[in-house]
Amino acid sequence: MRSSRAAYAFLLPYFGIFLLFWVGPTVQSLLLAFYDARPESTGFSLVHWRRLWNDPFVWRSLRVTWTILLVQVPFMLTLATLLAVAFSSRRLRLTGFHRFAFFAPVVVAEVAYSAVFRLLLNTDFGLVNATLRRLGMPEPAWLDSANWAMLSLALVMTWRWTGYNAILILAGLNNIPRDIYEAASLDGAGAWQQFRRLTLPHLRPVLLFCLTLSCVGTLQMFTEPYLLTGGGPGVSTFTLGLYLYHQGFVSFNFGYASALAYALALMAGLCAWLLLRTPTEER
Amino acid sequence: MVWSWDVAAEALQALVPAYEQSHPGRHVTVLNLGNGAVQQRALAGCAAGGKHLPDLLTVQNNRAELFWARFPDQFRDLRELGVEALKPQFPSFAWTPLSRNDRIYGLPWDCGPVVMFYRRDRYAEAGVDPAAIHTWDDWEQACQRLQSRYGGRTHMLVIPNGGEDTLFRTMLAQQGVGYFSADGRAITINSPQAESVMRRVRRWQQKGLLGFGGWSEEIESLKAGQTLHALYGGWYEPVIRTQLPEQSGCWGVYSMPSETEGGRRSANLGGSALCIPASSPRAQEAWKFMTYALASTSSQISMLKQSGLVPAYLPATRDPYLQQPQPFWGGQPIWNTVLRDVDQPMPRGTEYYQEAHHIAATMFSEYLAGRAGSAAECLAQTAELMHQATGLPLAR
Repeated sequence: MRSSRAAYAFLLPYFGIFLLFWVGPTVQSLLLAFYDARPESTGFSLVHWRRLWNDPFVWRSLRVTWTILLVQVPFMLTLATLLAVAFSSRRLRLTGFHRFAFFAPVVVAEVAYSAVFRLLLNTDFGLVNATLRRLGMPEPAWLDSANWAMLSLALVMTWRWTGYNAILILAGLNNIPRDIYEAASLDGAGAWQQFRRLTLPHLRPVLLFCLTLSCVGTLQMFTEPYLLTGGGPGVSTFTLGLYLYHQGFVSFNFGYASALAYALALMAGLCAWLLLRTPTEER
Repeated sequence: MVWSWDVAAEALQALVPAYEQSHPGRHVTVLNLGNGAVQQRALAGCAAGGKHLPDLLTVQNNRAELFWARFPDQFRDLRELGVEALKPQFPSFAWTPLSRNDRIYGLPWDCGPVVMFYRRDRYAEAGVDPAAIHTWDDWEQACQRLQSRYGGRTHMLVIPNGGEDTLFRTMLAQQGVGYFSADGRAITINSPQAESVMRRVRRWQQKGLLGFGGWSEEIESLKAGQTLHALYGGWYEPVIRTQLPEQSGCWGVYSMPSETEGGRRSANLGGSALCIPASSPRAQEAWKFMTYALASTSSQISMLKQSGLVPAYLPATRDPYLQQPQPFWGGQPIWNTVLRDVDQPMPRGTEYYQEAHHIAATMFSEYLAGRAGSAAECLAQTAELMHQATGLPLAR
């Protein structure tokens, strides 16, 4: 009993900070989401939730999120899996260097790499289009037309997160016992069959974990669209994270921003719950 | 301590040495935080009950009303410091966004009379006479001529794609229309004037006259000679002059073309003011510096020279400097042109400006991308969204 009291005493500062800076704001923003702070208002109100439901910006930004989730995330995870398999290959030399090189983008600050990509992808002066021009190829308006802007965003996200996911998947790969591969080889299974029937099923838990992280990350996406496209052109790369920021810190409508934040958290929670409750073991 | 941004902060900073010399013992620090950061930090400070606010705060006129509406007690009523004696020295419209419920919270600094900055040399080469451009139709024809001479990669104007609607707002303001009515109680965006402006800009886009890009892309494009105009308030003058020094003599200024023959050739957009947070323990000193900077012809002219800030202080608009030819501008006395219609009212911002602006900028960009239907449909939807966001009724 005495020792557990000491343990709680050590935990107290943490709980204090947790209550003050986490639970406090969380509860307050829940209250704010049900409170109309506009001057002529009457206090408790469902106005933000009604607006949220009818707000085309919310639906448009969800469409952006879904596009990224359905197109970029699967592509990125496939690429990450292939990379992880390549990293674990015995035929690869300088493994450490390759692993670091692909992981490095995660270390670069979001603001820095977004700014660099913005310069690279500039329609008139960017390096990418200058190169395409030299080669006599058409020059897309990377950030200024809806589809290209979406593709640019997806490319940037892929550049940033593929290596990170590859390292996670690599950890999963290393956990697969080597002897089952030997057994499979003895039974005459080829490389592709081994990958499909052994590697992938064993990677299922870690892939689901990566997928969950990517889903939550995509729902909260803010920095890249903010700096790369400003959510534009129009609303073609406008995310819920951008909208939330705008409502809270630009329009100073914290009530609506809180409602948006709760909607976002609920969706992310639901996403994570659905993904994590799918059975991870093949029976 | 003063919070300000970009050229405005630099202009104010330039006044400090002389002020400190003539007011021994006084010390002024100007912090250049950038436009967005000033607004956001000030809002956060107000929300925290007046914590970490400066002695003087720069506010942009169209966004200022949010402060007085939401935090009336966080700012000093300048009537206590004698602002009423200065009222006749500034245009009456300048006080509208700075007052609420008979209180006056800010002292006007500059205003934003918009002009067309153009490449004088390219006009001459292509045989286009700027003096013959009266209406937007004339301008469009001139641009087509310039484009046929310089090729399709040359833009006439660069506009942002999403996030900003400056061109749209400028051309609307020229016709005396904004998001909201003059009393700030109704949404007026869905107007025949707005519809005609939108259709016009769309046509320019379809003809390839417009390039897309943000602030820095625009400057780069101007620097590379790929964009031949900029349509902004007088404050853009030092941007061109200092960022493109190698193009000295290549630029000129003419009044905004009008919507119809004989119509209004100017718009007033932007402008800012200084105010004193109530939490400042140095309100008297702040007021002294504020009046030294804003309610004096010599200070205002110094800021005009330094940063192109067009004085809202009326005595300064009669200063002989405004008639002087400017070497960078090919010897043209440009301030004369800029200040031609300085007393034209600007559209009301209201406390909902930011939300309305976000909606309008997005919808305008959607319209240009062909995803918002016709101009009329787009405007109807824009107005409806503004109504949902603000609760204000639509004007009939």
